[in-house]
Amino acid sequence: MRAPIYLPFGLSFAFLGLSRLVCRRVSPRPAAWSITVAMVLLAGSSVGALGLLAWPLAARIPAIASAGRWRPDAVNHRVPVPISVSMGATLALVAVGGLVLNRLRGLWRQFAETSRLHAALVSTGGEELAVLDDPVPAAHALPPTLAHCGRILVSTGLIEALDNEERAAALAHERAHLSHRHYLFVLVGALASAMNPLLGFARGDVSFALERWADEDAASRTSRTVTARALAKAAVARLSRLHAGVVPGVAMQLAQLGVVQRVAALLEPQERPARRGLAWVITGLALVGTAAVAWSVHDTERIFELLQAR
Amino acid sequence: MSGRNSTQPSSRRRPGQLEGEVLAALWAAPDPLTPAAVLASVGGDLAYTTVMTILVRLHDKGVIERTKVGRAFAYRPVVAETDVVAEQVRRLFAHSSDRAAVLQGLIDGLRPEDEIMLRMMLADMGDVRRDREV
Repeated sequence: MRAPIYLPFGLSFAFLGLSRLVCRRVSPRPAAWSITVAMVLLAGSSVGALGLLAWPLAARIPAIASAGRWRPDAVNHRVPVPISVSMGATLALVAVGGLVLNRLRGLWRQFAETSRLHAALVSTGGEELAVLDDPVPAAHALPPTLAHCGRILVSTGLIEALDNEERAAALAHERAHLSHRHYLFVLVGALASAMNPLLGFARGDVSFALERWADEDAASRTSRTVTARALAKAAVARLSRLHAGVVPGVAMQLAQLGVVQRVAALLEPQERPARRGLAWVITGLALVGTAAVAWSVHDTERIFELLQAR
Repeated sequence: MSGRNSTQPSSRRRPGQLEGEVLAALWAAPDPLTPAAVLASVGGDLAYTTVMTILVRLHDKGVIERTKVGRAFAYRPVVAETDVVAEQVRRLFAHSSDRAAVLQGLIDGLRPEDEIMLRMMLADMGDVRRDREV
């Protein structure tokens, strides 16, 4: 329980910049995967590290100490974690517990709403697509629930803004979200960032990578130009509909990467080879954090075995 | 992207996908469409009978309605009730600050100043040509 225990927190800070870099440089599929896997590893290891740092405080409680057959005051001398750090870690753990519960409640609410929406849509659409009478151009992929398959929602505003080819690209984009189960990436990211709020900043990057992934999928089914045109036309039509004030887009505020960058990426010549090195770098760093926590668990066990031997 | 995607050409579509495209085509048209017009609009190498089957199925479900035009039927989507659902969808996608179960929309994340940039990009893509056609 020495310096390595603090590594997951340091790595989480480093992750702030790195995930943005991966999102910009690596092709979307490996970007989404590597950032999400790294988020899971870092979330798990930082909660593990907090638990380990908080443990000496619990070990000083007489009941626990007698059960473990060590003297409470021996913990003071032998465990290299100041009691103030243990107290801080305990508070942080409580806070994280609160955040996770809150996030779970939010997820449950969204799941319930999604189910309700599925039920309402049964009568309004075909099997896959539901068209909504709304002049503001919009398209969404509604994730599946236990009882319903995933569904694509598009507004009449979107349909009117696009021609046949572009419409096919827009539908292919939403279909890609469903067929590649992008909602699971979003779900995992939401839970990981509740466990470690520093990771919250990477959610915007994952969300951008997922949109790019779906764009590329749509482009492979139609063409890059058609997909780019569909995006740009729909976006312009949406902006002119929502002319007043700020257009809602939560992920945008985090990512600062949006439709313009996606259109640009589609129009970019494709000769540049896909770079995956960075994807391995962030996954590797997150693994280092996990290893540091695993080592610290072992170290803590050893310290307490010594305490028992006395 | 990976080879898995590109091996599946756009002409090979699952029945559910075709249904979606037919429905989208009907919504896109200002007037009811005959099966032949749907076929022209959806494009690809579809058979007339396939389009017919989808239209009949959609009609049976009550998603679209038909009127007699000359000797053929023309189809249009049933508009009723979709606005209620539209409101529900807007609510679901607008309020969630941690949109966890729900994904960002196709064209969310727009800032007003993006419009100029997007218009320039469209111009570069040769949108001028398309405007003339319309």
